[in-house]
Amino acid sequence: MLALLLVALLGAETCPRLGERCQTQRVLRGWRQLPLVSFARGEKGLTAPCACTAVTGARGEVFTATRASSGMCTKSNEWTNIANGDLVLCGSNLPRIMSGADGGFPLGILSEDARTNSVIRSAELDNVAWTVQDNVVGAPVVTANAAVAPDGTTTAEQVDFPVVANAGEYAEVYSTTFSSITGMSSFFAKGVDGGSGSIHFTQYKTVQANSLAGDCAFVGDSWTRCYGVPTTTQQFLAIGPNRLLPVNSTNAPAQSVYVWGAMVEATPSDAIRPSSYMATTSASVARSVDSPHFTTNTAMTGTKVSIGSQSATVMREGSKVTGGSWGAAEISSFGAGSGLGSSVTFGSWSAININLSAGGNRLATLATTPTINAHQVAVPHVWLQSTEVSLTDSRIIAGIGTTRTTEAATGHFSDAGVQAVNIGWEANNVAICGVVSNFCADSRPGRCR
Amino acid sequence: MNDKLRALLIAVGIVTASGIAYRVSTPAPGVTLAELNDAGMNLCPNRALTCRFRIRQAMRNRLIDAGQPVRPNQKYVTMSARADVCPGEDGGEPEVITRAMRRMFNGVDDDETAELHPDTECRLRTFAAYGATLGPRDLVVEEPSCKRRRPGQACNLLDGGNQGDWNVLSGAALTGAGCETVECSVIFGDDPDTDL
Repeated sequence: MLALLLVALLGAETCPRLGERCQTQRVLRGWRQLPLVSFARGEKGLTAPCACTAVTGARGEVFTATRASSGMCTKSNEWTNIANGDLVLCGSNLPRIMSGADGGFPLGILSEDARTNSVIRSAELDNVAWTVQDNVVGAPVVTANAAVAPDGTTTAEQVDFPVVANAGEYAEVYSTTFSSITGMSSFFAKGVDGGSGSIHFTQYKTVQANSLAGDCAFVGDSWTRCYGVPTTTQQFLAIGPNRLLPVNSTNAPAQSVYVWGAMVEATPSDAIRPSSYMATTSASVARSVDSPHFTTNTAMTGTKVSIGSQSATVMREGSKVTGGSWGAAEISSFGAGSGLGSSVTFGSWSAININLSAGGNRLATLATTPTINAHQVAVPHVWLQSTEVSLTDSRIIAGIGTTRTTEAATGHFSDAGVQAVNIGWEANNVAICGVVSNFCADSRPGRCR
Repeated sequence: MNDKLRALLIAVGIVTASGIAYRVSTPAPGVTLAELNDAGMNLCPNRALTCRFRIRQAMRNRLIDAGQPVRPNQKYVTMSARADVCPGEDGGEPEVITRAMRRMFNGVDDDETAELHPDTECRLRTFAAYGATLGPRDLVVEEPSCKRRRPGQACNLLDGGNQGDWNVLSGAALTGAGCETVECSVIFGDDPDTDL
């Protein structure tokens, strides 16, 4: 009764009927009712990273993490200070709960586009799928399974590189098992015996003079994920110093480096981070797209729907993205037409239009047989069209699905129109892979604070 | 596509061919070819639709029973079927109607289904370009484009080099009577040595 009284005083929705318990949570200023969909740190399933188990929302909302393949989850940082065992393989349809990027962001759900690692024997640099080559200085020496890798297995290779100090010299280990990839290369590196340094790598192109190279600083007490930039017509990935190619060639001392987890994946041309690692053996490996979504236990009745994500880490950017404030992030207007054929504008994200229309590639997703049940309207993703966004780099970190065919003039949902919340994003036809955290949707914005 | 034809179909998936997204539909249960043609499907041009799939045991058995070249443990196949390509509504994506592939796309969920491979881009070709005319119920397993060497078999790189046992490479890179043709990749979590 006390809880009921407090809820009433705070202006929250009353309990369904007398005698039933409200679903409440303790907040600093008292008791309040939980939002209809809430997915935030400390709630069910979001207490530890990479458990690879089913999660629910705060009210037990069903969370579906559809993914037709396994996927790698990272317990801590994704790019630097990666510890042995930080990478955990989650099976198909299991959510990858992690913080993303570097720097201790809140736990969220990792959602990625489909990708393929085209480098076979990605952690077996001693296999014939990899070749060592040199000019003058002597070939690098590869020792198999010399150290514990980021996934906790003893599969990291030690590569001992010679001194390369003169023009024209090189000493590399390279993979040629793919051809003409337009995308990005990556691998994990760690110094042997605690040593630190910088390792050179080259993304060779069809025209070798146009190849792209980079240097990756590594340390000896943790792993670093090294990666290049998207390049066209990449023919092979080479790891090691090279003073023959004119691109970023530098002298290098003799050094010993643990190398593990090479990957070459086709990416959008503006991608700036690789996707999660996919281990390969004798063939290339493809990861399926993530299509996570919640289904509410109760229809979102009321006049307004608040939907938003307080923060998210986006791997493509490697930085935290802050969405609109909770209270203002409400659906405030609809364009002409029906729910699935119109634009939805988010209040404080007024610059962002969620276009549900049958245009471009959007229908390709929306048409994936939306399932209509009593309490579910499953639309896999809501895409953002960057042409409708004034932000410099558009991002959508949450969307809703509805099959309503008419809306009130106010544009607010007036009855049980929204019952599934889907997480996904795309900008300018370029999929963004990232982690969404602190997600909330409710008919009363106040509950999402 | 008119409303009458649309009402006879179930959208089961999306394929991308040459950068264009097509909505894939199959006839609703009980719908006959005559009904489809009466609704206008016979006005849509025929094409050969080719996609890569990951198949389950029941579908694999069906293909083997039909005499298709599928190994007992094989999970990945590239298949072709006849498709009727109809213009989309209001300038939207064109629609592909395929009857033979109705169980091959996500959305029809029973133990005989298959999944589109994540890195799949399907191909839509004229029958002339495909090299054969496919009937409405034809489902053809295509020759894979990659090769590998099983231990002890005669299969090497074109320059005589050693590509290693089991390593799957482009078919054009390997030669020898012992080369085994296989699909080129697996879904993360599968074992290429047994599943390809």
